[in-house]
Amino acid sequence: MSSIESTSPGGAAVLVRPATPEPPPPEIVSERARIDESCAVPCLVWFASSLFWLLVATVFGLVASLKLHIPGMHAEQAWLTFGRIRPVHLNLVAYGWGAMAAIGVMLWLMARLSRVPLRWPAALVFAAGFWNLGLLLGTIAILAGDSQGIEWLEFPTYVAFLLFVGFAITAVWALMTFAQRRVEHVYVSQWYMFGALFWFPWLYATVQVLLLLVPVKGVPQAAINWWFGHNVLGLWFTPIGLATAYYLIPKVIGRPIYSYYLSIMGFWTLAAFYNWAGIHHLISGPVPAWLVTVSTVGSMMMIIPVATVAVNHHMTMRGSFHLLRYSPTLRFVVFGSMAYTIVSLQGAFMALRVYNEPFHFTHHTIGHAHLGVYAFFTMIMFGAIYYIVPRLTGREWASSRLIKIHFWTTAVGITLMFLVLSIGGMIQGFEMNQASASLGSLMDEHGFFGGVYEFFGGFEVQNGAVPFLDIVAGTIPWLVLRSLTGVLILVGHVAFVILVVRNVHAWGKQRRGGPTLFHELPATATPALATTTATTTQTPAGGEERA
Amino acid sequence: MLTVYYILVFTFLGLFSTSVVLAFWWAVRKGEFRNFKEQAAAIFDADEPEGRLTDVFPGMREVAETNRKGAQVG
Repeated sequence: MSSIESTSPGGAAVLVRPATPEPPPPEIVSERARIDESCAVPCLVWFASSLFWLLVATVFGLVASLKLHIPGMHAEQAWLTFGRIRPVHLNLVAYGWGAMAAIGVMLWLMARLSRVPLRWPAALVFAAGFWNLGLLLGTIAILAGDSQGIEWLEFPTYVAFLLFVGFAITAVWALMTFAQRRVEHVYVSQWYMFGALFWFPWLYATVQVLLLLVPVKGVPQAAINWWFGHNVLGLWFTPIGLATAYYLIPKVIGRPIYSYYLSIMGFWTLAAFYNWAGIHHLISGPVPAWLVTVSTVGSMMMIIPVATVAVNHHMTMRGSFHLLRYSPTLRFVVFGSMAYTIVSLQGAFMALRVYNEPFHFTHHTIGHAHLGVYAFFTMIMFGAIYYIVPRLTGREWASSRLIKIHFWTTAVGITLMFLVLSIGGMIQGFEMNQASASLGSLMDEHGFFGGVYEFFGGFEVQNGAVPFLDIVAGTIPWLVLRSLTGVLILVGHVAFVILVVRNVHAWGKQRRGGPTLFHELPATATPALATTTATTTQTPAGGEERA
Repeated sequence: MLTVYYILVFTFLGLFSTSVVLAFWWAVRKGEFRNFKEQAAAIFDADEPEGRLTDVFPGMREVAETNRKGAQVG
């Protein structure tokens, strides 16, 4: 492969033409095309389902958010009360959008990295059917009042069975694909995916048995609940998110990871430390102090794997940040990776008693959770879908503008949501625990800056000095702002769904070739869905368009 | 009932720990902790080689076409 590399005076890499472009051997192009073809139907089914549940979950989330500052809204309808709407939002984000997008991405990544097509893809569509049926029944059950009442586990046990069947099929398929691999080496993304495939059923089965089938009594219930609640993020969503980032960042910019050694160290340290965390959610609760301390230590130890990821991703991108202008996938994935560093470091410090005690029953924690599940995991999944779908359908994205709308509404929306909930929650926490008066009254008395200084800097600890209802009323402006950020995010999701629907169904003006660097495929290896498209024509710029 | 819990918890704890140790041992034996430079480049091939930007906004023709013809990203 001939190449000419150039670096600008500022150290940034620039695009230059090679002296002699060399087309890839046809068998390599065919191999890639066969793998993508085998993934097309199952991955698109998992992606389409995940996007459906994402839209439903977003609407439920927005309604739940509105009800926090308009409590009378639909209050007469039992199924629309906050206690049902909010768990539906949580479970559909976790098991609907998050898990289904993760499985779709994982199947494609595993096939690509193993360099073998997925066998019997129909079974994976069947698995998606089980999963979707579980989500539908679970949602109806919660809305009908048949919730388990345990956070993250509100779906009834019969739903868990359906999810297990769906998961078992996909896990077996992923492992079978790996077993048939044509490359000896196990790339770091595969290590993370193995971890996730192994850890999720272990976590989910443990809590199903210990909390629902043969429930333990008393305090251990809360300990197990939060061990699961925390680890489902760290040992399911996090490994899939990192596996995706470790594949896509180097792949998109065309440069290997800065330090493969660090990436492997990051995986094994995550495996060693994350499982200890979770019980710090019960700081000041009626659990043994040593249990909380062990969990806090585990959380602080997580700084090691987080640092390896942060250093690695930053150094891999160094000199290539200007490419964020050109690549939608890179924008979303780099945003997600940066959010991972922030949320993980914040999470480690939130496990300290001094940080946790004032804020753990406030909106501050909700902001942290959204930073993790959305700004980190969801944004990386968006980036992955932008990369994968054109390769499955053989069609380019229809609109740059819609992609940019999607990126900016979600990026700005989630950033503002995090800030609003963090600041509002911090004020709420101070007022509940140590402020001598509410922020509002101190501002009235001392002016804006004087009031803020007195509130945060006074440290005149008078627990209970601010009436609880005043504290609740003080959160309303922050909750209104949070709803507005939710609207922004909903707009982004609608734009994304429009893009995917247009791509899959080839609606409207479509592009083929060009941006994602498709090489001309042999006639026998055209991606399955591309056969439904109309004839393409070469444009003067070398790309292809069709109407 | 407590005995059942103990058996359950410690059995799975044992299985889990053993599987982690086995996975680590397998990785060491297979040479997964050697040749890091080669392993980092394992995701590239002649179709999607090193030095190529493989994802661009639709409409950014110039950049895309430059890459399509084999341009390098340093």
